[in-house]
This record gives sequence, structure tokens and C-alpha cells, in this order.
Amino acid sequence: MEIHAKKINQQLLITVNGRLDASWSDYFTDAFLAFIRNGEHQFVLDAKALSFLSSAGIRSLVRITKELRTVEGSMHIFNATEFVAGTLRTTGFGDWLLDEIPAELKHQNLQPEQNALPENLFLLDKNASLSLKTHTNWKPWQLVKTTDSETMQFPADSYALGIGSPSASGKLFGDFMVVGGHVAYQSPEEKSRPDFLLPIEAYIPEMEVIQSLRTEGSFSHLWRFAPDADKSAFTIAELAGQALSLTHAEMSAFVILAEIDGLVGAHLIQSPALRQAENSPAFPEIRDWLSFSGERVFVGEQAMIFGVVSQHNTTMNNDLLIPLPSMPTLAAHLHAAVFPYQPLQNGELNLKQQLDKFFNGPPPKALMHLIDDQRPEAGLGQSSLIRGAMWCGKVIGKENKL
Amino acid sequence: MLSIKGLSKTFFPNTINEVKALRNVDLTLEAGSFTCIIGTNGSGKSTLLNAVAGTFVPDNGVITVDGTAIGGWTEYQRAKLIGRVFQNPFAGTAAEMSIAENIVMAMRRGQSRPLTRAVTTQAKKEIADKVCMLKMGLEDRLDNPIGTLSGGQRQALTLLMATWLKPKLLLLDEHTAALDPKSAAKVAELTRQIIRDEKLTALMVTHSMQQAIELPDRIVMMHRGQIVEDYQKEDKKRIRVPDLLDTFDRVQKKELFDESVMQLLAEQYV
Ligand SMILES: Nc1ncnc2c1ncn2[C@@H]1O[C@H](COP(=O)(O)OP(=O)(O)O)[C@@H](O)[C@H]1O
Ligand SMILES: [Mg+2]
Repeated sequence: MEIHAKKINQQLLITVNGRLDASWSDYFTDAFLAFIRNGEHQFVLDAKALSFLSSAGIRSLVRITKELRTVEGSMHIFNATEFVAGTLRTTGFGDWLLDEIPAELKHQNLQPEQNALPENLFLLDKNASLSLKTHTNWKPWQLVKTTDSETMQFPADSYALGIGSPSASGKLFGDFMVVGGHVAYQSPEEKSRPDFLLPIEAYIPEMEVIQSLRTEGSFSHLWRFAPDADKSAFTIAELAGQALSLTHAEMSAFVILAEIDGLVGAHLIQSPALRQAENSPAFPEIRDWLSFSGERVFVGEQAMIFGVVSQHNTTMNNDLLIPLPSMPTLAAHLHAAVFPYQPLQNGELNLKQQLDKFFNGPPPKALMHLIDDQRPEAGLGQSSLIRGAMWCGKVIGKENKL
Repeated sequence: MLSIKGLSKTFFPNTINEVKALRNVDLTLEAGSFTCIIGTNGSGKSTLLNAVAGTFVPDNGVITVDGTAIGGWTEYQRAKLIGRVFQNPFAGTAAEMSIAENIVMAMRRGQSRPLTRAVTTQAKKEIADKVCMLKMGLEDRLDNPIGTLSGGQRQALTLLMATWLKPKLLLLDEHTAALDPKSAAKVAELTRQIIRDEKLTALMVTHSMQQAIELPDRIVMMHRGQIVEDYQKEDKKRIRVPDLLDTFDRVQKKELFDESVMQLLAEQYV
């Protein structure tokens, strides 16, 4: 499915191309909600190229109009095919249909414009994308075999997360993330702080990796988000969903730099290479292997997050993408490094410059695998962020299982 | 010097008020070593000291001093080996008795003949010499009732009394906690000096991270009746207050990691 938007007078003209069914309805809903969040209230939908509308699609439209009612907005559909118009009428939503093109649009060019973006959204390179490599040889809590690890180099266009060990450290496998060839690594000890491997001159950071989601390429969009009267923070599921809708993709990768509202996560505190038993550690032994944040932590500090998100039903999915309990239509995996707070400039930010700034400043305080904690009573919720920047890009191609 | 093995104490067992104040605690102190115990309120620090002093009978465990098991000894018998200072400046002294009389009582601690407060001239000279080292001018006020002194002065005297007979073991339970910061610093410094000069083996509970870093050569952290950290030698030299705070944090985190978290991570930490 493709969605294009074009502002004509007070209206946002949306052009949809494809099928609005169960596999696209979340994407469609998210895209619309993002427009509404950006202050658009009057929508007209050109449905000429909308070939199919299922009940999931109708639910999505109902959800959107409900949201619109709260801001006194409206949505109308014109150019609908016989099939789509019929579906809307038989399900009782016929009054959304316009018989003809709205008067204000009559003499306008209805061709979508690619670059009519809201002011907090920047199109960096519309052709940019990232390729994915997944390394899933090791899973908790198998014994680590020599054949599980692979030496990986991370050149400047690599963005990754996983479990690995700096080559010089032997088998100290811990959580790590890579952003633009900069490696942040949490050595698996309770007391230690994260370390860096930086690309200095000809050096390309290198890790022994037993598990990773690794992407290479560049990002197409930059989205600047900030709180407003209705919204004080952005959850991981919202941000990941936004990455998918901005990039019109089944799978996206993203880097976020943002002020922290609260993080919930876990990280290894003992290298899995030290395990002697084949089975999973029981309680309470598990507490000697993993540390859990236990509360919403690092409020007010700065997070650097790398994540990969996919629609739950895409064939590109793999074991390292886990459905988010609070948004099960999305599967994701995110690692976050925590830096002391430093403000970000407004407007368009250059990712490379930001990475240089962060990695040359005070060291990170923590690195963790983010957890969506929806436990019934004690749940700490999702990690969430107050304001910041998200660079995102489409992840393409069949993954290579190594 | 002191060896504690498998020490456990549960208060109000099998009731809703049950508290496992000590859970299988092992701790060995070398002769002449100075160890601080830190830990959250109710973590069992005082209970550990009380068990050593013989205030109550533990449920399990063996305590030996220089190889001799003292489990069967009364609190009074142990007082010959052990000097103690508590948090409350009014606890270790008799307010209406003079400084000199209080000290004479301490000098005779553990002696079986009836206590007398009579202060001989020779004793008075000895007392004046020692009190002088407190640098509080108290040597000129030896006949004043101890109740007329400030908390800091009383705690300094209590410390002096507790160590007068060179006990094998000195137990200090937050003995500076009730003092104003200036007096607390003074008493802490005095503590360091006496322990060093008399080469005492000491176990001190403190609420002050700063004291734990500055005074002893070992730090033990307790949590829920257990020893959860033990910083000795090189480790002890390296750590600073923020490291101790981090350690508290980690201990608390572990506490929050229950079986529901294990389930959560089984699903999401892949
Ligand atoms: N004599 C006692 N009777 C009942 N409970 C006690 C007694 N002494 C201590 N406790 C309980 O044992 C736990 C540990 O107390 P304590 O050793 O005083 O802690 P700390 O000195 O570390 O603050 C607390 O829950 C306390 O209420
Ligand atoms: Mg106490």
C-alpha cells in the first residue's frame, strides 16, 4: 500500500494505492494518526486506486473518524470504486462517500506531491534504505559453541544490535549496539559501565557476535517529536509504528536520540559463554545472569536507541523480532544506550554530527535491551521518550540467515 | 579473630510478624582489622552485632573469638572481650555519675568483686592523661556529672571507656548517627585514631557512606539479613561513594527481579 498526502487549502488530500485489509490496516491507521498528530483535521481521501476494503479496513476508518471527532475534524471519500463504495454502504458508512470531487479540489492538481511534508518531518533521501542480516546462532540459554560466534566488522554505514564481545575481550558476551559504525557495549558484569569502540582513522570496530540484527545503509526520514498539550511523551510502540508509516515499509530500522521519560530494560550481567548447563537458569539463579531495571529509569537523561520494527505478519520476520505486548501488530527489538542529558538543536539534525558529539562526550551510563513490561499488576509499561529525533529507513530484501 | 558461620535469627517465627533478621551469615574478621557494615534500615546490622555481643541466642550458627566458641557465654561474660558503643549517647554512661566515676566503672568491667565508684588519686591521674587525648578539655571537669556534657563529648568518652581495657573486639553501632555533623566528624576521627593506636579489631555499623569509605579497611553491605557485598583490600581502596550508591541500587534491583520478571524476560529477552 502507498499513501500520499497533499495539502490543498485547509484540506489534506490523501491518495491511497492498494488494498486496505487486515495486513495493511494498522499501517494505514498509524499513518492517519500521525497526520492528525501533526495538526491535520480535514481529510479527503481519493480512493481511485484503492482496490479492496475489508472489515479490518473499515475498523481502521472508524478508528480514524473517532479520533477526528475529538478534534472536530472530518473525512470524506471520493472516486471510490464500485466495490469499495458498495462495502462502505452495506456496512453503514455510506455517508462518508462523496458523489463527486469536492468543489475546492475541482480545478486543482490532485497528483500527490512527494515533498509536501510537515515541518517536523525531513525527507533526507527518498531512495535510502537498509539491508538486513540476522545472526541467530545463539539463543538463551544454550551453551555457547565456538561455531556460534562470528567476527563482524562494523563500517560507518552499519546499524546493529545484539549480543557480542569486543574481539580483544575473549568471550565476554554482552549486549551491544552499533550506530553509524560506533559500537557501544555493555560488558556482562554487574558493576561495569558500557564501553565504546569508535571508528578512528582506519580502524573499523570489530566484535565477536553470537546474536545480532544488523543493517547497513542509510535513513530516508528524520522526524522531530516534541510534547504538546495532549501528549507528554512518546512510547516505543508509537515511535516504532511511526517509523513504519513514514517509510511505508513492512520493516524499518531507526535511530532515536531523545530525552528520557523512563526506560524499562534488561541486560546480561554474566557472559553466556560461562554457562555450564544446557537448560535455562531457574529462579533465583536467573538474577545472576540478567539484570532488570526494576523501575522506570534514567528519567531526564538522553537515550540513544537503535531498533528494528516490522509488521507482525511480514514474511521478513525472524526470531529476534518480538511482538510488542502493548501493540502486538508490531514486532520489534530495541537496544538503548543512556548518556548524560545534553540538549538537541531544533530542526534538521545531521546524524553523523550527533553521533560524533555523543561518542566524544561523557561516556554512557548504561546500555540495555528494552522490555515492554505489561505484567498485570506490577507492569512498568513501555519505555517512553519526551522529545527528540528519530531517523528511520526502510529495511529491504530477504534477510540472509548466516 | 572473630569468625561467624551460618548465623541465622528469625524474630516472631511462624507468625505474620516473622522477620528473618539474619539469614545464614558468614563473616570472618582478621585481628587488627577495621570493618564497616552498611545497609538499608532493617537489614540486620544491629542484630548481627547483638548476636556477637550475646544479647540474644541465635537460631543457628557458630561464633568464635580466637578459636573459642562463645555461643554458650552470657552477654556479661562476653563483655570482658567486647567493647561496645551504641547510637544513643546516653546509653553507655550513667548521667548522674561524674566523668571519673563512669570511667572507673569501665576500668573494672568484667571484674567479679563488687563495683565501687571510689576513685583513687592514682586512677584519677591515669584518667586525666587519657581524657586529655580527646582534646575536649574534659580533663579539668572529671568531677562533673557526665549528664552535663554534650552528645559528642559523651560519645567520645563512651568510646574511650569501651576501649579502656583493649577489648579483643570493638562493636560500634551507628555511634555517630545521633550527633550533629561536626561532632560526628570529631567522634569518627577519634574512632579511627583509637582503633589504629590500640590495634583493635573493630566492627562498626554506619549510616554514613563517607565514613564507610574513609575509616575502615573493609566494607560489608547487608540487605535483608544477608551479606550482599564485601569490599576488601584493593577493591576497598578503589571504591568511592558513588560506587556504594550504585551497589545499593543493584541490590535493590535484584530485589525487584521476581518470578514475574523472569517470565517477562523469557518472552522478551531473546
Ligand atoms: N528484638 C527484636 N525483636 C523483634 N524484631 C527485631 C528485633 N531486633 C530486630 N528486629 C527486626 O529485625 C530486622 C533487622 O533489624 P536491625 O538488625 O535492627 O536492622 P538494622 O540495624 O540493619 O537497621 C528488622 O526488621 C527489625 O524490626
Ligand atoms: Mg541498626
